Amino acid sequence: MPPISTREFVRGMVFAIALLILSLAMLISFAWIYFAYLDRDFSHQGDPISSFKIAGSELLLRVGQGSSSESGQFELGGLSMNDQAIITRRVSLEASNYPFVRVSLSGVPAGVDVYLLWRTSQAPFDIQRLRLQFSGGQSDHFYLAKQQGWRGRVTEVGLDVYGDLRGRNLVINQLAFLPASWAEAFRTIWSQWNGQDTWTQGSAHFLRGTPSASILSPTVAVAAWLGLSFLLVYWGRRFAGRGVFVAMCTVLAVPWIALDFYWQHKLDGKVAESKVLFSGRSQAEKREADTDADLYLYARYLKDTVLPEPGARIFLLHDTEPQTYTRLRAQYYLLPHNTYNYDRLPNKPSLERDDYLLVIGEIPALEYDNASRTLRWGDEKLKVRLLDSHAEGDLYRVMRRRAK
Amino acid sequence: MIIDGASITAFSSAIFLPWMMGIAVVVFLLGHRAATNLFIVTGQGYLVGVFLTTLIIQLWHMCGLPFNFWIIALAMFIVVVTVGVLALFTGRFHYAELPSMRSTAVWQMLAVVFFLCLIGFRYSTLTQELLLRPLYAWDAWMNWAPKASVWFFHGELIPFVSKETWLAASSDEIIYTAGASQAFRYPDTVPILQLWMMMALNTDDSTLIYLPWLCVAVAMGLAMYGHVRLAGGSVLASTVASYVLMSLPLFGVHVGLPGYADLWLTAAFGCSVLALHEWYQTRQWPYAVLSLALALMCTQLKIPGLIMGGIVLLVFLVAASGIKQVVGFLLVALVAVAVAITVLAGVDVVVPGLGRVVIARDFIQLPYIGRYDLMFHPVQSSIIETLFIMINWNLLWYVFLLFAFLGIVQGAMKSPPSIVLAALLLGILFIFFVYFFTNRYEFALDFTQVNRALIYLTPLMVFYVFSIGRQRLELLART
Repeated sequence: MPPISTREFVRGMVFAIALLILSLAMLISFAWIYFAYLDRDFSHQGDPISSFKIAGSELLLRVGQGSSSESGQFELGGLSMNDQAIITRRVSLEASNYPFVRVSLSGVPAGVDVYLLWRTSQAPFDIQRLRLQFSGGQSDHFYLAKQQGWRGRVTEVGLDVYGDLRGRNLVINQLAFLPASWAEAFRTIWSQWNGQDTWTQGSAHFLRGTPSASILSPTVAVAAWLGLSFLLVYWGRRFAGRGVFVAMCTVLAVPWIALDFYWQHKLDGKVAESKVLFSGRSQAEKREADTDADLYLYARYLKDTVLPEPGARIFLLHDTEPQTYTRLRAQYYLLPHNTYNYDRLPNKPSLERDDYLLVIGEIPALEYDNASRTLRWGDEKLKVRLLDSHAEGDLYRVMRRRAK
Repeated sequence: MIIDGASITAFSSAIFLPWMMGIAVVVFLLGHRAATNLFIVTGQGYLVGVFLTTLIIQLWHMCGLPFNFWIIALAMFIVVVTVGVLALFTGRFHYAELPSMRSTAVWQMLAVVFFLCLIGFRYSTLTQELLLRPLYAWDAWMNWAPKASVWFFHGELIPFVSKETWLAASSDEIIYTAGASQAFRYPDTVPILQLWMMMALNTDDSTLIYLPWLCVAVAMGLAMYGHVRLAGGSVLASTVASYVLMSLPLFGVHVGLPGYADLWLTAAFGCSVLALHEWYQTRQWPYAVLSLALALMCTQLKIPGLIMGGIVLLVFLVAASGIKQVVGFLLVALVAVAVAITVLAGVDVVVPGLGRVVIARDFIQLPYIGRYDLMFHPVQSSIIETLFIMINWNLLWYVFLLFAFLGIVQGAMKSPPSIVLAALLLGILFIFFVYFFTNRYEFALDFTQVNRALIYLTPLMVFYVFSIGRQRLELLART
């Protein structure tokens, strides 16, 4: 086939762009009609339902520091010792009437996670949570109807905040629970597509591209755009002349690039958070600014001031299953020390004199008797010496030799 | 200039010496014997260079020599000079005859610049993330980096053993066990590469250690460009192919959040199959050598690499045997019957030097790979979600299926599949078998593993689409 001239390229390109615009308009129209149809269904169920709004000042602080302002906001000024704040209010809502919520917050710093939380009359002791990912605008919409716990009568709603406020006030303006309507559905889809999330430990495994309970995946939406555009180009191929190859390539490339820009936008948000947390810092300072800084600082303290040079065996004990985050992270930070990291309680037959036992956090079944320098658990006991006691854990040295 | 205590010379040497060594070897291998281009040499060269670097370090350890960055670097430099001189004196570089750039229209050149800008923008973002955030991704700090840290501290490749062996050993013995129970079985290539960077930077905690993850993505992009060009693609088509691969969200995330072995296996498997494709097209044996060397690299990267390397070997053997279509079909049927009989009757043998091989109705057990219970698990909704609903692959699976459908409609099934398509289909079959029929299905349900297997196939999918795409679309336009 002879090469495509610039003129043929322009013809094919214009043809493709026209059909891309047409197919986009058709898809939006389809979606509009679909949501309007749903809207009509909801309005048939009885009296129209009005939205339920809670001003920030109507929320009560359960954990953390902050106060209501005269302008109807709640200003969260500090978190608790474990970097948490909870602000809630008692309500009585029928969950099925409110599939959407609009959250108006300002001043959410990078590295802070905000969850919507609620309780229901069906499970009054269970706290349900939905992680909120904000776009940076004045308010964002979130989809509740797909949440498993958003069922029955809701008795309490609020926000759960984790992280480091970095000396700033997080201002809660309003929570508005909204009935079903096509307008709210569109706004929620827009919020979901714009919502900025942070990296998680699963990010190298899968990328949803939106919060888990999204109404419409951007990948599916863009694929539908590509598919419809491609069909339109195929049906109208005789109008494109020799530019039809360019037109086909264009309707394949433009949706791909659009989705790529979308992902780039998400990526930019993640890098912006990394800049706030780590930019201009040495490697050690970056570790100190990271989410598990307490564990890192504890491991560094042990390495620098308590433990001998790497070589001795350390048995790391933690009240969790093997391969859980805290114990693995502690082992990583203790490198190059030689750590065995699988037990909750001492593995007595394997211990030798001068081995170390590092207890991370509290293990209720394990007790240390200072007078007799003995660790006890169940019917077992072990002669040890407490070398160091710290908020993050305790370090012991084994005083007895393993029976051969 | 100093980077956190290490000289820029050491750091640059750690990055570029393996690359130069690989380029020298690939030029020596392909230069005057096979048609090639600079993009293939540079892209494939990086993988070969990194593999050789890790082999040299292992050889160093086997000889009982102490680890010293500059002495190892000197040895590598000698290899670069020796192989480079040999390459220069054994013949002229055989540039593949390709359509001249001069015939490229203005719009194509503008489009090429546009796509290069997109790649540049994406990789500048990913590089920022790579350099800013301390080692983050789960398996990176659980499985791979700990080995390198320990080796860096001790100055030798201290063994990692199972937890049972560790517990049974005397406290005087210097052996380690990882926090993940199976990590001691994982191949050493990736941690040795990390060790190499740690030696250059003189620290085991720096984001610069992971710069090779950026390099391997770039190398894969270069190799993709070079191979699509060699397959007759235009400058624009080849650039877009590189962009498509390099812009895949999950591909990029393994650069921004580095430390996993999956990107390396993706590149090694991809480059291996692309080299094999070139060998099959031209019958220039140096490409077969290159392909098999990279297949060997696959086996040294991850346990699934044994299968990916095996796929390359299988495709090579079938292609080299010159089996015609009917004979090939009969062979496949024969293998299918053999598999059926094996599963019904069962196999339980000990292969000398390898271990026990058991194939039963309800489980299989293979040396190095482990035991897997066999049962159908309905994971199709997770597979559909990960391929078509999440953003992992942009629209790659949609586009791939579109071209596969066009191929079927246009009668492509009448001819045997290309090397790339054969390897791709075997890879898909393997991955789907693992997640639909073995107890690893749970890693498809929670998405922790399935995408890291699917990523191995992406270079092949991209090459397949770009090697047959134009023909399919032009045929469609004429119908």
